[in-house]
Amino acid sequence: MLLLVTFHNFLTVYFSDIIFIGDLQLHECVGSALGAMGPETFLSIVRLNLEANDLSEVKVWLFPILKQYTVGGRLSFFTEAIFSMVETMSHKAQKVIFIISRYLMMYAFFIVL
Amino acid sequence: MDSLVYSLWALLPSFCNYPVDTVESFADLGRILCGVLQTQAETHGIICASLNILIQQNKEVVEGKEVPTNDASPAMQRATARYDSQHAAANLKVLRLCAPKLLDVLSRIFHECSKDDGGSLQVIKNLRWLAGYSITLHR
Repeated sequence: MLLLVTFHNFLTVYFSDIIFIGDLQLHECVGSALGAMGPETFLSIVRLNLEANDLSEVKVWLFPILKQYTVGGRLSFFTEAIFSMVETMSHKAQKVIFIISRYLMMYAFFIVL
Repeated sequence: MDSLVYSLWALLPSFCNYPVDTVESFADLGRILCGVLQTQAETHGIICASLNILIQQNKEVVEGKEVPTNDASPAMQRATARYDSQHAAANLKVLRLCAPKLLDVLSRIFHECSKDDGGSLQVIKNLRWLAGYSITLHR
């Protein structure tokens, strides 16, 4: 467990920087960790941060690693966790579109006036 | 935001890579996928690819094809070791239960869309094989 926490600290310290995205060895290293732990434990330690308001805080660099190294996971994890993330994100996206369209309509209204 | 949703969906084929709980969980996933296929056109390719992986991998194990594990990662070796012919046959049985509904939705989409967005023809072929699987099994 201590090792996991240390690993977590290591990841949060090093991966908060985007500079390391291109590092292939690190990609492989995180991939092996994902393979050893399984996607569920991995994602509970290294969060995707999808709930962040600022989209730049979302750990998008995790997606290619998850895609490449996930094997022998649980389908129920996808239906429960990932699918609910999809729904939350789609809901958020619709909200953004609604707000933008409302602003555009107001803007058009003032132009007409 | 939409690209994030797409990235999340793009993880589905990886989760269909030798999953451990096809028997217990595919019914739920199948139901969700049927709904999503009808409402979200952009996910067609991903869902077809995922179904192809699921059916193909189990089919290969049942037919006794050797999965090359020499240069595979330890995680891959562990996952494939769990798949013996009995396990794969049980998986295919569950997949077959959902096959008619998926086949119905997918063939409708295939007829409506003018272009084949990657693998939908292949998945229809696989699902048809799956639907006929019981006949070959009981013979």
